[in-house]
Amino acid sequence: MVIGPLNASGVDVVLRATTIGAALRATAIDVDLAGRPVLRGVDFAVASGEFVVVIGPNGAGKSTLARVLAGVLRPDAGRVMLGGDDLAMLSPLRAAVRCAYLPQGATLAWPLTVERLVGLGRLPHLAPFSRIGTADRAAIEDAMVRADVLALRDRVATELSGGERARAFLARALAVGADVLIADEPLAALDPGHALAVVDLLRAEAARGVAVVAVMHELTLAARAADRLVLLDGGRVVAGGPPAAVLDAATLARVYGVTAWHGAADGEPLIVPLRRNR
Amino acid sequence: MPRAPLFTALAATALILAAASLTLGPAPLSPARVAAVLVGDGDPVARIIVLGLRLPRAILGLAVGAMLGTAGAALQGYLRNPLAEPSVLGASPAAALGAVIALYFGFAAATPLLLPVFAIAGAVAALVPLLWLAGSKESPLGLILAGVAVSALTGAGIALALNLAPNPFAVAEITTWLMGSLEDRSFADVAIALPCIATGLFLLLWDARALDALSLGEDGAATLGVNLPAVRLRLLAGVAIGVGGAVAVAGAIGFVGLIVPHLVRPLTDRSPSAVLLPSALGGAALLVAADIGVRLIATDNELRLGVVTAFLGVPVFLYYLRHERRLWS
Repeated sequence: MVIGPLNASGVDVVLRATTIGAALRATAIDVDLAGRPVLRGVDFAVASGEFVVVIGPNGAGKSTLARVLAGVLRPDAGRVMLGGDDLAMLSPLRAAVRCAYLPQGATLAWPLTVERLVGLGRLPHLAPFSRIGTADRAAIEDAMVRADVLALRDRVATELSGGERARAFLARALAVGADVLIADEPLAALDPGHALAVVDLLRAEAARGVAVVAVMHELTLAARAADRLVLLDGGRVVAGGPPAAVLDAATLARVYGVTAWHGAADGEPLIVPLRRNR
Repeated sequence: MPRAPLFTALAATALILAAASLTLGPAPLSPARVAAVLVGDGDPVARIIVLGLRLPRAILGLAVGAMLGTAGAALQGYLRNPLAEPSVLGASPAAALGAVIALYFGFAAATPLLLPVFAIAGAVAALVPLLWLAGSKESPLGLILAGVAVSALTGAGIALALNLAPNPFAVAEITTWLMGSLEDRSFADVAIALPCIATGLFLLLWDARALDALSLGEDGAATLGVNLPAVRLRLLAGVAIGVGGAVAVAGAIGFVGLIVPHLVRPLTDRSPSAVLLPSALGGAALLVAADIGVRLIATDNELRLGVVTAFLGVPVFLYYLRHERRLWS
């Protein structure tokens, strides 16, 4: 489902996600892990063509939220709707073709080639005992082109550099061809150039009409790239909306306990944490 | 290496070795005499040797080897651990313990069918605590740790059986079950083992794609539509039934399940699904080759299969590790 071109002014996008049917919507999510509350009353929505970045301090519940949205973790309370369907009611296979998930610190157990790794994204599309078809091949090829890993297709994925590896795993998620993409810390351990490449890739997916959710720690990159930020702290959504509105000095001081320098470059916000508040 | 030629080469190797095994032994038979028996003629002596002794032995060698190879490949894929094999989870020793119990308490003598039932029950009894100990977490490390614990318990059970064994012959017999042998097996054993092995192979090959998805970890696999609890149940049931049936007739033959997947993996794209069928064919070939070795190496007592698979397999395995170790660093 593609709703018009990407609109970078966050307010419209917020309205789109909340009024028109969201591609993915979570309502009143509670999660307890090992008896400890991790998420409390979290509401979240992302529309097709929207790029939402989830930020928050370590332990805020970002990854847990990503896992709930991806259907990996069943919330203790609340509901996740994928389009018009309750995620808990969908069969794993039906959900898999509609929502792609890139886990945090993605690992690969066997030394597969990049092409084979990307091909794993087509698994939910294959009928039992059937071989990979021309449509699957085209989707794999397309995902490798979009993630710029075509030149690496015959390399062993476990032997790639961090930046190449991040793109290869992202290509695996793209190959699913889902209308929702959830990426948990896709920028972890990437240098600025590779981080920007991955952000551009996620933006491009949103521009194609995919609902993109990413968990990130890099505030400036998040602020510049996202249509909308969702700030988690202590398992609750403490702020949400256009980046400039979420990342003001008071919020940074309250949530992260830091004083930051706020500036602008190319008309987009720039945030540099300066020191911890005592 | 493309799939079709690899399958053909491995299958041909296994079949040629099996055919050769029909001609080899204490009384060598010419290929012509063996061929005559197989098409329904042949002289009486050759008929007795081939149909009564060597053919069931060759069939069992192929089937048991295929089962152990596949079980090793499936467990390595599922646990994402290159060390996994049926005995790591305690399945093979527990099946051997079950068989020993059936033999020494006379159950097997009363009803031959109880031998595989006890062996499978032993394997199941080893795997149930695994499901329980590993809990709801789909963690491979939890399963392996639980498997090590179960293996230790099984070892104690076998030691107990050795302690309580009524006489030295019983001790020797138990040792046979622990090292494995295909000596003096008949078509009755084939009838016991084949249905179990066929069921086990079916269950293990069923989840080939789920094993591929698991290379991305549990969360990655779940979001690719894999039903993890169902996969685990099929996998453990497949290992219990298949390995239980194999152990019931051949004893606990080690190393095949560990080595064969590693030997064939470099010939594939290294994905767990691609390793399954070649491991079955390679396991069949390795076990038949080992069984030929057992007969050709002249000793007072026939060598145990587990000994020969280790002597054949481990040097190749170590050579392989030297070349592949960068992949495991």
